[in-house]
Amino acid sequence: MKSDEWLMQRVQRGDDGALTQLFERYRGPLFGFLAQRVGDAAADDLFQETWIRVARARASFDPKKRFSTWLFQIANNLCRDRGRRTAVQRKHRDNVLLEHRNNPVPAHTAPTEDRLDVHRRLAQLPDKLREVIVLRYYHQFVEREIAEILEIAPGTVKSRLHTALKALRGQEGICHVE
Amino acid sequence: MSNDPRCDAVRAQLEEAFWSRLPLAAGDTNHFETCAACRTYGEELGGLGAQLASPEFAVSESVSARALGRARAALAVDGQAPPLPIGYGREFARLLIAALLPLPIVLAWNAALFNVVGDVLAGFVPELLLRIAAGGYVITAVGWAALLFGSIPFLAHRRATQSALR
Ligand SMILES: [Zn+2]
Repeated sequence: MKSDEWLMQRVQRGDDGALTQLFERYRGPLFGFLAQRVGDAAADDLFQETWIRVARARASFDPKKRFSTWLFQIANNLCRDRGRRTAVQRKHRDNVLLEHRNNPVPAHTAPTEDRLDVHRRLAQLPDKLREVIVLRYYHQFVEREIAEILEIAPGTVKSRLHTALKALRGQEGICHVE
Repeated sequence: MSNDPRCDAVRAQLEEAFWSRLPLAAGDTNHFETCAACRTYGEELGGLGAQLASPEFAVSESVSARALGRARAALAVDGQAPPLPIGYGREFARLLIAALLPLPIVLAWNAALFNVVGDVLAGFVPELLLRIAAGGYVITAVGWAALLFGSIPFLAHRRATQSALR
């Protein structure tokens, strides 16, 4: 199987078959990432926008680096831009989660209740913490790659992961994030 | 963080396993077995991992088709003019410098040649013939220079592409 980076170099030369292959490889993980960052309704638009940027900005891809890191960097920047434009996303996401909570939950579904708690906590985290959790836990990027995607120092990633874990455990009042 | 460095080490390992979604295990099993605080921490992280199980998100076929269609269109629009490969600028500068460095020596050498040969030949070659020979020489030299400098963009492109593929 050809590597992502090899395919991306074909894309750089205008090969749309290579673009289709990369698309098939990454559509699931990319959409999952966007949905976790901005909710699945908003993810539809950002998903399309990410792929358009991949095509338009293909010359800026450095084949010595990993394609996945570059792809998620584009996607994450779009999430951030969107976050700046609208603060509504968070409210909406919380409302959906609250709706879930307010529905009567039968006693035997206690684990779901726990899960809801953690996901609610995750949803309420500051963007800076949620993005490291999503990248590290759900997409299994290592700290160095997360640093590249978020364009921050590896040490900052480490400390954010530390804070994020505390917050998920319900141990941290997250007032300030480095 | 605790006061015992062994606790810190074990917890760091547990956290690493948690983030990597691996079965929680500590290198220092002796300590892990005997330290209630570390065991509790491991159980807590295990519980957290179970609760964090991946939410299911799926992109709809229509969104997927539209995204791919638009990306392919974007590729086709400016696909005719392939972008310059990464590292092109660096290769171009390197080759240009390599070509410019010996230029002063080449020019000085040619000027000296003109003077010396011109003086020698002036004694027995007619003026007109000498001018024609000098003109021919200059045209040839300029032609070689044009070929050399003109090939730099192409050479740089080839070198950058090759090093990118490596
Ligand atoms: Zn311990």
